[in-house]
Amino acid sequence: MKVRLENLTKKFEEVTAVNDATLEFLEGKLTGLLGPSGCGKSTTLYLIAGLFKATSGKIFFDDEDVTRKEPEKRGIGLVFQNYALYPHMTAEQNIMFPLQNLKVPKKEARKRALDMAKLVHISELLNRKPGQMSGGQQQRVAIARALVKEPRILLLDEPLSNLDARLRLEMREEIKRIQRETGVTTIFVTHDQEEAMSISDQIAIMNEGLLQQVASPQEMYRNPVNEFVAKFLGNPPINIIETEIKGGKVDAGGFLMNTGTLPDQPVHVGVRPESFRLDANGSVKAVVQAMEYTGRETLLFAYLGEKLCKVIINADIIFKKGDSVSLSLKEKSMLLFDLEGNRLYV
Amino acid sequence: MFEPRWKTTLKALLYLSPALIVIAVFVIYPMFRSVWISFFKDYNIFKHTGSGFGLDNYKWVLNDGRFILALKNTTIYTIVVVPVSVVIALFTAVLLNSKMKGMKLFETLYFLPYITNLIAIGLAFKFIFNSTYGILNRILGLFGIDTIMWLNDPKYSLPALIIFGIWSGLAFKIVVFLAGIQGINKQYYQAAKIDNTSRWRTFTKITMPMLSPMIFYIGIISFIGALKTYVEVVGLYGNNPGPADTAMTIVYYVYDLFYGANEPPRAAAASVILFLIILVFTFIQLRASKKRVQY
Ligand SMILES: Nc1ncnc2c1ncn2[C@@H]1O[C@H](COP(=O)(O)OP(=O)(O)OP(=O)(O)O)[C@@H](O)[C@H]1O
Ligand SMILES: [Mg+2]
Repeated sequence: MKVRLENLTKKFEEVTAVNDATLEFLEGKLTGLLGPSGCGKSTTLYLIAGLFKATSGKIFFDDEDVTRKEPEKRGIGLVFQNYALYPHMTAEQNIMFPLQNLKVPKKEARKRALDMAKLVHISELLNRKPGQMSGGQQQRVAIARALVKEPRILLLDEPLSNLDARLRLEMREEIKRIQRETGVTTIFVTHDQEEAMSISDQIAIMNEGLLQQVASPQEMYRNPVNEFVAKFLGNPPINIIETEIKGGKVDAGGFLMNTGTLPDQPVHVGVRPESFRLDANGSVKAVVQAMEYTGRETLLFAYLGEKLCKVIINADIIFKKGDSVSLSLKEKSMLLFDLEGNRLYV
Repeated sequence: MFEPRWKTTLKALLYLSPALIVIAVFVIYPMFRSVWISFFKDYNIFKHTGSGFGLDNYKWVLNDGRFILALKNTTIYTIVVVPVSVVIALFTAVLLNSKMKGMKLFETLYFLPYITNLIAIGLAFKFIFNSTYGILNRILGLFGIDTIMWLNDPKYSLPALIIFGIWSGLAFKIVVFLAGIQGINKQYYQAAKIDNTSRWRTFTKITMPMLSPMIFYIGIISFIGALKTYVEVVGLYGNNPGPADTAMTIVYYVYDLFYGANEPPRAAAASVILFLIILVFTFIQLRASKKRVQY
């Protein structure tokens, strides 16, 4: 089942939480809905779920217009940010609850609940109440509850935000696995770009109610449509050098680039920290200001023009403050943006 | 958390002392005094002198037909009023919470009895129960039910008291339940909606269990309140407990012994018996609730 939004808008009294969004969530894939806090991710999810009514625009499940359909008729599974497990029911009762609503015979409901518990690896916790489970365990129960009625679409609202770093990584893989095993069309809300990048087949990124870009993680990372997307993805974030196009050329802290027919104008040049190369023949010399070691790689701070840039280098190489380095850039690694933040294509 | 120490305990007592003194003078002392009085055959409450120490008063009260009647009435009253009013209040609170049209008006209406004196409401109910002009009989008349002498027929005086008792206690219960319902996280209801849960199941499987501590609390409070019913009788009947004592309650009996019959020791004995009854039942309920009340 694919989900399509057409010019979807949701206004609360003053805020326009979702503004004219048009996009398609791919069938059987996991789409990450990414954006900063308050950008309208949850609202979009609740619109799809039917808990909010759209101000204008349409929502389609395959070719069926569900914009006015009641949530209970939409056949979706929803995992809330804080799980919303019923505290007075055991894990098993929680998972069976949606089936009992559908009047599935007790025996079958039990069997399906047990199968689901197995899928999310909580078979031994079925008699516990939510209060007696860890965050990660509760989350799995919530996913099981959402999946047990075999929904056509699974919606997850920042399901990992309450977990510690290690558990997050683990659960991320789990969700990916469960999604692959069930093949359910999944929309996964998060404000963590790394999480979205690692888990998604496709990412939709939002800012202030506006959809910015929809693309695969690789494509979005390499080819952001605007400065917001470029800055939002990647850690450490992209370096932005303020400069200008003059006579068909741009000079970003010593790195030159032909800009073809683009007219002269001030621009922002984005260069990812990993796009630099230590290169004895490199065109730009810089002085190391500081180093940061993460173990896997080393982050080097150096001025390119007036901008203190981050440069990722091999962890084996050791510099110290004041050393001079010579840098070159990988092919096509300079991204140009105008002052509105729109991408300029050469 | 910190360990209680002598110093902190004394300090706390100092702060509590105004309240403690008032409670001691007006609650604790009279309580012990009345237990004390209840053992004397004769007692002068002004001179604090008594004679004939023993259990005679208790024997007398337990053998008094009026006490047995009061006990019976109070028991019936409690058994009916507590569950019925709790159920009605619960449903009303759910209804009020559902934000249907016209609920604003209703919100004022249900709150009225809470801020109005019970005696005044009793007067209003006298009119409602009036056999010739009363609205209750008119309504029942629409269903073909003959005129009922609510307040004058001994058969109906206790039912009248029960109806009044249910109604007068509703406001408080509704307010508490409504607050409880509004305290339940909306996400449970959203989750239930997504999962296609019927309204009835939402009520029995989500609202009720989540409210269970509150339902229990209200249950105990109104149980104790019902066992101590008195003002309702006065409000409805004035200075007699219904035709042929048919609306006599235990507290009314105590009051009547004290002022009417001028028998303080016997009144004290009756009130001690009531105290023991309440104590035992509350204890049983607390024990039972440990198992029943959810999460
Ligand atoms: N029920 C509501 N009434 C009024 N405004 C709302 C309501 N729900 C959300 N908003 C507003 O709509 C905007 C988007 O909110 P939304 O909850 O969708 O953000 P979000 O992207 O999920 O943020 P977060 O990552 O913090 O959860 C915010 O400005 C928020 O204040
Ligand atoms: Mg949100």
